[in-house]
Amino acid sequence: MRKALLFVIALFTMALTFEVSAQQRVITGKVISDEDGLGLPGASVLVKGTTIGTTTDLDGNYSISVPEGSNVLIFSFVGLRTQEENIGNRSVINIILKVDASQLSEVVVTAIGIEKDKKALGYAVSTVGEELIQNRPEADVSRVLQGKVAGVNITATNGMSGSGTNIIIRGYSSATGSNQPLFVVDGVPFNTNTNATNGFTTGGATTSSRFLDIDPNNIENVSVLKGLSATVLYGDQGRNGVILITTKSGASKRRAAEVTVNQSLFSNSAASLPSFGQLYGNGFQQQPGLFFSNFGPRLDIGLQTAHPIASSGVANIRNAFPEFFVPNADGTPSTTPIRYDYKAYEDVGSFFFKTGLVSNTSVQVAGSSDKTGFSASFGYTSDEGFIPGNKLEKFNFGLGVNSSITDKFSVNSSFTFAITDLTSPPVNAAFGSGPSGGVPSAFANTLYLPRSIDSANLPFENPNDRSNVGHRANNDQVNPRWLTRYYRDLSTVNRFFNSTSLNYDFNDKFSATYRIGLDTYSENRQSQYNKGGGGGVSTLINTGYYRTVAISNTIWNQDLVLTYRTELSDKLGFAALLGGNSRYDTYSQDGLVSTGQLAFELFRHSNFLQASSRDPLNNQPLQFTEEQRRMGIYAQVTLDYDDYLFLNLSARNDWTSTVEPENQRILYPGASVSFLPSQAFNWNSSTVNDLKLRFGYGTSAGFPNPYSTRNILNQNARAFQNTGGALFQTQSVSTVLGNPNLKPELHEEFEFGVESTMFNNKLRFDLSLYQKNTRNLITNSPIDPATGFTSTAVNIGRIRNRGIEFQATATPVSRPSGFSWESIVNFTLYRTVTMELTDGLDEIVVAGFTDLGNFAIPGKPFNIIKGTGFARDEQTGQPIVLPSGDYQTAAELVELGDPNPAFTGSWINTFRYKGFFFNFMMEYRHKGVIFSNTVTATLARGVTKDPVVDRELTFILPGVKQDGTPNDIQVTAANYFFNQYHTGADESNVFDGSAVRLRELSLGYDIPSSIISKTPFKRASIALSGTNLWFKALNFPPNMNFDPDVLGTGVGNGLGFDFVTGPSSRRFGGTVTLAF
Amino acid sequence: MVSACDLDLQDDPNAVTAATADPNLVLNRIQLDFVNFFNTTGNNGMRLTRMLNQGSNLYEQAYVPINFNGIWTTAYANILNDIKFLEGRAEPANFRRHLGMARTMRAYVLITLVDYFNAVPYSAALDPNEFNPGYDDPAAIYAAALADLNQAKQDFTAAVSSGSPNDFFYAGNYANWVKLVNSLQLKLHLNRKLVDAAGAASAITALVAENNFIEPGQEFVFRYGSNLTDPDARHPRFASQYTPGGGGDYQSTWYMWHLTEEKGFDDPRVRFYMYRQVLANPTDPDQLRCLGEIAPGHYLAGGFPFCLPGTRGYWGRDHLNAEGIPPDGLGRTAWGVYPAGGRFDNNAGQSINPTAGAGGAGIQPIMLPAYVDFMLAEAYQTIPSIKDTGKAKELVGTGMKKSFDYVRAFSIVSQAGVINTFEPLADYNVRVTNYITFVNNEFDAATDARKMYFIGREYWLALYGNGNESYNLYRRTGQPDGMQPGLLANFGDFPRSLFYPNNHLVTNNRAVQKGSQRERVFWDTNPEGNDWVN
Repeated sequence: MRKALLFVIALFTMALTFEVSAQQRVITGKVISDEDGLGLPGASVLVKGTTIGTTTDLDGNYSISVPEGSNVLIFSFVGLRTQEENIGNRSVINIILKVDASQLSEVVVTAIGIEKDKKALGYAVSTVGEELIQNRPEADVSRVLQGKVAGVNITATNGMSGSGTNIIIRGYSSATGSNQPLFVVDGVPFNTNTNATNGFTTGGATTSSRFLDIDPNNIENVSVLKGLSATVLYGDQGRNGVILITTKSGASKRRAAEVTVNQSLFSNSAASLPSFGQLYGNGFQQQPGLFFSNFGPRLDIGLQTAHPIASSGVANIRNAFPEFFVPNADGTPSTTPIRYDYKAYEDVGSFFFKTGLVSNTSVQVAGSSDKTGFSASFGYTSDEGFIPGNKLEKFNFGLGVNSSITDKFSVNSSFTFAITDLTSPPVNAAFGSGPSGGVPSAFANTLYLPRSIDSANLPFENPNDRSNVGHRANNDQVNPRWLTRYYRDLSTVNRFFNSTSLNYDFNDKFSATYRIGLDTYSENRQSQYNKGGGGGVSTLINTGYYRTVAISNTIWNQDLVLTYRTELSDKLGFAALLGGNSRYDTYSQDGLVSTGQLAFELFRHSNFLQASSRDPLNNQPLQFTEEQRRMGIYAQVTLDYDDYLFLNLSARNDWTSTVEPENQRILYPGASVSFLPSQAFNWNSSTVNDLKLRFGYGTSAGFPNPYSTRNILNQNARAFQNTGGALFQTQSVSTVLGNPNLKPELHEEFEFGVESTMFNNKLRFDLSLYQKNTRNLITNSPIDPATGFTSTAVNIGRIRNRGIEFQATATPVSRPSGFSWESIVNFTLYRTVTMELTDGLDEIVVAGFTDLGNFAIPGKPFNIIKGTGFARDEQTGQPIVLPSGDYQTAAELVELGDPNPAFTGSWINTFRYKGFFFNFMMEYRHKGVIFSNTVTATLARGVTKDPVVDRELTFILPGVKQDGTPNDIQVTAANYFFNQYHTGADESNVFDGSAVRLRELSLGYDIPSSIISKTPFKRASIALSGTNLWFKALNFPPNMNFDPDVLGTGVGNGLGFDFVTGPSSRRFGGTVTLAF
Repeated sequence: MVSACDLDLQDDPNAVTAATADPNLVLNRIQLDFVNFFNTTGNNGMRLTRMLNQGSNLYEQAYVPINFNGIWTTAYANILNDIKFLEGRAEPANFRRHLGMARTMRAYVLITLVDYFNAVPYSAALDPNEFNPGYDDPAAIYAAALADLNQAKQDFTAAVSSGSPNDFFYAGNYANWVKLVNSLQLKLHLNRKLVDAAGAASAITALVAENNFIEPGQEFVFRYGSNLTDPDARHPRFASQYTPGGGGDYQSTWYMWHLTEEKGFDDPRVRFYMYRQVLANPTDPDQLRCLGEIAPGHYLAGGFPFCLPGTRGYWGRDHLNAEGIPPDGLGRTAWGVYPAGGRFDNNAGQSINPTAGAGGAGIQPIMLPAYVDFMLAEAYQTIPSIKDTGKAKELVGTGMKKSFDYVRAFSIVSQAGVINTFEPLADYNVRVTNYITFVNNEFDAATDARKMYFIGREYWLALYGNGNESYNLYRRTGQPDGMQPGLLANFGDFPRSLFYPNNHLVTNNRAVQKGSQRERVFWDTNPEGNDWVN
């Protein structure tokens, strides 16, 4: 649209002629836009120091006569960076103009896909261009955005390929509702749910989030609407912010005919494994033994023990391995185990964790005629995880067509089709001693495999029945080598997405757009757990477990938007918009779980004894459907005065289906003002080039999940089976109380911002301050079970969220030689506080467990962590040490800290010289506590590298004895670490999460056109890049190498927990790009 | 633009609604939840009375409010609320038998809540419009429970009743239900003996006169199945212990010592109660740390068994032991065939596994004829107005006999071959007779003040699997006294009542936490503190 307007201007200006004298040199050439590689019509070319100038023609060509003594041309175009070029003795000068992000004249995409001048916006919008998204080692667009947008907190659930990602924009505004932002792709909503069929304690902690289906390489740009003022037109859907993605298929821009091919290859390895010790082996209290722990004797004293497998308490295992017993005289095995060297063997970090290969191929084809443009893309990603059995494969197809059917009528349509295949070993919460509930996890017992047992080479499978063989006497650990081979979670997603808009311009003032979006996918999940896992999993899973779940999700979205704009006077412009929206979401799920496997490695329900449509792991039915519908009308009026004062008023009225009829309608108003004093008062300062002040107010609402208003009964068709085999069914009033009076929660936000460009555009900054209040907070509130119900959704309480976002872009160095240094700083700070809960309610568990979780407590930071703490002496506040030498646990739960970071920041630097570029991005997170069971699983188990301490000494815990005198009770290293970090209070496992990180690093080279012109290629570049190459959690214990970028509670409102969720990922590799 | 029907999506298409509910299926849930309630409440009582190991160092660490969330939820939000729903459906339909069963179970739940927590919400509870129900006088709740039991009796005997409920306990024999109601009334009145001796005495006398208690063959037990998955129908103790890697509950050193060493001969029930995976004590301190340790001073001073009772592989844990879990899952003593549905100990000394023994087809012994006899014995021995030591002795004898008989009779159903081969019934009965004679002699030899010890001890040994009665017995009579203390010299206050649960405290603005777990329930007028029971 911008180009179309400028084209008109160009036609007009070309008619002007400039005075030309005969003795001057004539320079010709072409001005090309860096954005699309096409000639730029209407760009101005000026001879420096004169008034002589011209503009380019329709194809971007120009011709200009330069007087004697002048040697510099200035090329400029609105929105692009003005460039000066020495003429020298050239007569042809072709130039590429780049987007100038540092000017307020930038055009950005706002709500409902409306493009606006940035200066007219009274609220913050952050944009991220394709150069910061493409060719990254991560296949998940949200991970690529980590740290790049101030105010947006993105946390990976772990580093496995295909694992879910949590996104929170501007803190939390709902306690039990979703705080995940709305994704809008090419103008229509895109479902990004994390369809966890299990909770984080039954294997669902790292379930994929469905933005995984987006191909980052097909993204043209991303706009992030952070505040409610920006998102009013989306109604309740926009309450957590909106991420607007324009794909290349959906962009209306015409492109030069071009084929671009990218090929990337990256390595993927685990970034946050502990450093393993070499000095001490399996045992406890300095004694050898088949414990989980490594508090045994030194490994270098020539000790031998009975062979661990021959020492198994399980007869099946002993009998399967006669080779581990001393042979009798006749050659048959005796019952005496052979001796086994007690020494340091290969650690799990090297034999189990491996380097995966990530390869991405993407092909973009674009072309256009005068009326029609198209863009087609294909992407293939193969992403191997860093543990065996983890692989993500994606196929992405995109096709976009835009066409002007008549002068007034145009169509723009984008289609994408994605196939996402994920295979992964199961990951489940673990607390340092096996997986939660006996539901397997690849990491649960893995990190503390004993140093004195050669897990890399000992058998892990019983040759007779293929069952698991672990080193412990009870066979109560699933050997990770067995687990990754015989336990797997699979998911296949087939996703179709279309956005089609029809535009009709009635005249130059009035136009109409109709847009329809269809986002539909099927997600087929399987959990295949072979029988024979042993005592490390629940008895049920030990029999063999097979679950198939088919999910289908569809969003139909329609918008009709009428726009009108006119000039009321010379200085006063007016624009209005009126729209209607209807959105219909359906989710349906069906599934079957079988238990009792017959033939090993055969996963068909017919190969199992029992099949049911209810998952016996959590007793939830697998079949259900959910539908919801919302309808809205919205309007927006914009007034601008003399290009320096803009007023924007907007409102949306919504009707939704998830509450009872009397509460279904709600109106959200919003308003914003933008004022540019630099333009109003005509400051022609090179210090302050532009200054904008803005103020925004916006409202939104959050609707409850469907079916929260009416009571139901829970039914169980297989509740009990007696010895005679008779099955009994039950019905029970649901413990969730339906609340017919449930109303939407109301969000309100004020924001103030300052944007400026300074020092000849060398510094640009954007500062936002906001306060967001939520009233009538919908809470899945626990109620006293004495009421007959345990929870109900009610409108109670308030949350207040204040924050600061700051982004500055500086270009400290920009030399004529072509050397430039650009530096971007992002800073995010938010404080979310629970202001009040209804009478009688002291606290709500937001996530986690009732005795260890994130809580909402009035007056406290939202999500504060509570858990068991030390009993403390009333006088001194010192922890109390029991006569056993261990800390006493307090009877009541205590506050263990605020998991919200005090602030986070990132620093992105780009250096360019000739065709080279070098880019790095650092991140810093300040404070915010993390409860870590990885500490329990390594430090408490004594497997981390020494010297943490001299463990042959004894220790005295700081604190006082029960009588108040200073503690003097000596304990062993085993007790010190194991009893405090493992069996003791949760308080020991909470650490400050401050961390510094090198998030991205890349080095690239664009092969110069002088070389390229001799090849069939138009452009070629090569780049090396890496993510998460280095990090340090500043206050974690030594040798943990803990990465706080982990989320043990899965995608949701939980924060600050690591339940041995698995390490983060480090990726490094290269990309080649060719265009022809 | 918006038509109402487009937005009419509030009914959950996935669930049963009140209109489509079936009272039979609701009663099924009530029965199963009731059994679950019995299991989880009794767990506390068993551990407090050393019938099972007690983890943690201190009572204060072991009995924190959050531990009781499940009991509170099961009682109110499951059982009592479902009964309220059922009443609304069953009364108009004249489903008297449904109502009788539901009211009997409600009475049991109310009594048990009071026995553990003292004052709890009752009259204002179960009202979705009152989120902050206050406490009722616990004596009034007892009265309400008694009224429920009386009402239930009428429900069971009403001539006209519609519907035929599924009955997990008595398979529709309502005469047995009436006997159960009488037995529960005995329990209720016996608990009240300290606050209303006269009332308790007359009520008990009336019940004895009616002479309609449960008799052998009419045990009020829930019988589990053996199906492993979907549904897991096994006894929960079996399910958590008889896994491929073993593990689960540690048995109590003190209880096992009583079953094997204390009298100088084995209790005939020990091979039914306990299953030894090894027949000799372990010698490796890696598997049992206390092997290398000396008993704490107060154990030595009191002459308590420490670490292992005897030498024959009865391998459990001492009271209030906070240790982690060594690799002993296939070594420690497991639940046997009675009541958990595990394996009979015929000296096989093999590892447990998910299909061993009765495969989990155990029972919850909620009220047994033996218990009735022991309760009556206590009444005759301790309530002055009806004191009759001769009757007490006779009832202890019949109580023991009924217990021995039932334990074997139940177990024989699943493992007749193994049991009969190991010890034929005649041999067993000889040992039973010897045992009873031995106890009778002890009883006779004791002073009158001491006789209650023997009633209490034998009741306690018959109560394996039922912590509710043992906890009440212990607080009511202080017997059997002299129990093994905690490993720390100062192991905290014995909970005379439990703290209110966390899910009640943080949600209800009328909730008031107790000052300490020294606070006694209304019927417990015995001396405060650990000198009475510890």
